[in-house]
Amino acid sequence: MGRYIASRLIQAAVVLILVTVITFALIHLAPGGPSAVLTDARLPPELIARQRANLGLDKPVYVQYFKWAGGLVRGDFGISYTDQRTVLSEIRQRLPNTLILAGTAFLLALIVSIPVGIFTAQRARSVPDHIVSGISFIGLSTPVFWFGIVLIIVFSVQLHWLPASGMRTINEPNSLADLLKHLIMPALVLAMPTMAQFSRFVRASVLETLNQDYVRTARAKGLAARIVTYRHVLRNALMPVVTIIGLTLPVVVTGAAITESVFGWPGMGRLAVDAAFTRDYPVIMGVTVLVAAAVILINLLTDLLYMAIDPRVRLR
Amino acid sequence: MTTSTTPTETALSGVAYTGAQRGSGRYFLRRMVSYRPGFISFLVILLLYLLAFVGPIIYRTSPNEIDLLNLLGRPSADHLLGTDENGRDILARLLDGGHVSLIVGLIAVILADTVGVLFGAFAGYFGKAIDSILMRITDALLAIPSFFLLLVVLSLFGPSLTKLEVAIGLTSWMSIARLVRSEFLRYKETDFVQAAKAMGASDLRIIFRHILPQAVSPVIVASSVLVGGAIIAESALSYLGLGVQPPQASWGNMLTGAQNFVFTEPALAIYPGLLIVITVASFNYFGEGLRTAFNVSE
Repeated sequence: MGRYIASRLIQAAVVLILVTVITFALIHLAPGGPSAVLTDARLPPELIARQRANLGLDKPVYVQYFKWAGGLVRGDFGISYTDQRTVLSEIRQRLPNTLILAGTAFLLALIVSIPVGIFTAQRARSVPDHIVSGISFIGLSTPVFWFGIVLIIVFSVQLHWLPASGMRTINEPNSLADLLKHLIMPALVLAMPTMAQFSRFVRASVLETLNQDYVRTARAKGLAARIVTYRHVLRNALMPVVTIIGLTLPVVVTGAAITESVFGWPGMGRLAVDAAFTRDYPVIMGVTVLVAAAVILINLLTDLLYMAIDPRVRLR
Repeated sequence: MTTSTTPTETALSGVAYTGAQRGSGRYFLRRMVSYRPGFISFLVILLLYLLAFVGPIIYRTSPNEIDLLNLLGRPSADHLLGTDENGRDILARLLDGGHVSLIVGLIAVILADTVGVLFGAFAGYFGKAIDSILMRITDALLAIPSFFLLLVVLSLFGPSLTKLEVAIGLTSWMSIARLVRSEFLRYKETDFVQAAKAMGASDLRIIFRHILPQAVSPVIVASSVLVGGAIIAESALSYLGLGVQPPQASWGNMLTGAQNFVFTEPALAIYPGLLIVITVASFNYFGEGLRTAFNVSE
């Protein structure tokens, strides 16, 4: 078990290093990279040379990489091209907003999909099951930004219930109610694909457990249906759900970037989208590496957590 | 998504279906048609391609011509679905935008399949160090949500249709690589591979002539779902302004314009979005149908 943990840790570290190498190489080896953005080709050549030297762009690429990667370790993500602030302070300012949005969406997805998955598994191939499966298929096929626009049309334009964009009402004291009013639509939009994916997964997992011998045995010995469901089925069926939390994280982060742009939510995803427009490479690289690190970490944690709660994995 | 069965799949699992029948064309067709949503979505996909490629020949209004006297116009004999905020014909733009989405989806996936098959085949067949290196690269690219990779790539190279196709293709091959690798791991120790080796077949011949054909059906199933994903990615990027650039219409960038007019003309935002949903859902259901027909487990 110790060896398994060690090998998983090493694997995660290798993948993280590769992520930084790929991100860096992609940006610095391509035409249109930092030197193209920071040095105006119309300037006299000696000025360009001086500017490249100032920015360290004249050094070999691997030297530049180690300088950048060394900074990452110390929490130094570089300085934004567009507003000269450190990338870290930009991220720090936006990250809580993204966590509020993504966290709410994630909870929403779990709260809805677990009961729905259990319900449909118990009534597999019934009419309600078909309806739910159809809805989740459509949910997986709907682009989040369009779902966002449709909600804005219904709840902001037609019904005037909810604000169409932003995180807080300007010129009004911050209040939780105000925040919630702004949060409902983006959180629902972001939760939709995850909800669809989770409920399909929970349904499949519960269905598989229902066919196990020990469930039949429990029923055969006359246990109440409710006890069989909670003690024998759910306990086992919901364990694999832990693993997909890590797998859906990239979906949630991607969705967050798009959702934030639709609703003008001042989060990290929108920071990255804006940076892509202005070719603000330090910001793009910082956000990308941070997101990838989060994905790797969560996957590692879910693997270890799974091992802790399921003794069968530990034995292998 | 590891194990999930659709109702029909489970219903059909009662049908006897053995490995020997896997290659039987008539049997494949029968199962394909018997999964109703899959078959219907196949017809819908055909119809969409027909509309996007033949539609503009019949409906000859230009998608980029500006009718200044007719901004946000109601449906009329000249403009069957009305005009957008710039006075351009909505139906013509929907057809033209469909052309873009359907082509981007297809080319991106062909590219993703090519890269994914090569990665997965070499990793699975050769194993050891080659496997470790190729799979860690795959893991690293999977850890970066592909949308962020796309942001990086598109900010570097700037938006254009070709770059969009290449970028989406090169950021979505990882699932194919994993799939192909697992098929290779499954087959590389089998008797027919051993027999080919004993007869002196080269590694490349074994990879492409003996093992790869076994992996074709799961790749086709996964590709159908990938086409849907590629179309969503294209439309999201175009919506954000990083993909297909106006005046060239795409379903995604039509929605950018429409969002500015949701308060007055919400209908503008409905058509392109509905078409995206119909297209992507069709590819997803078609993939499900193929899965049933090929008898591939998820």
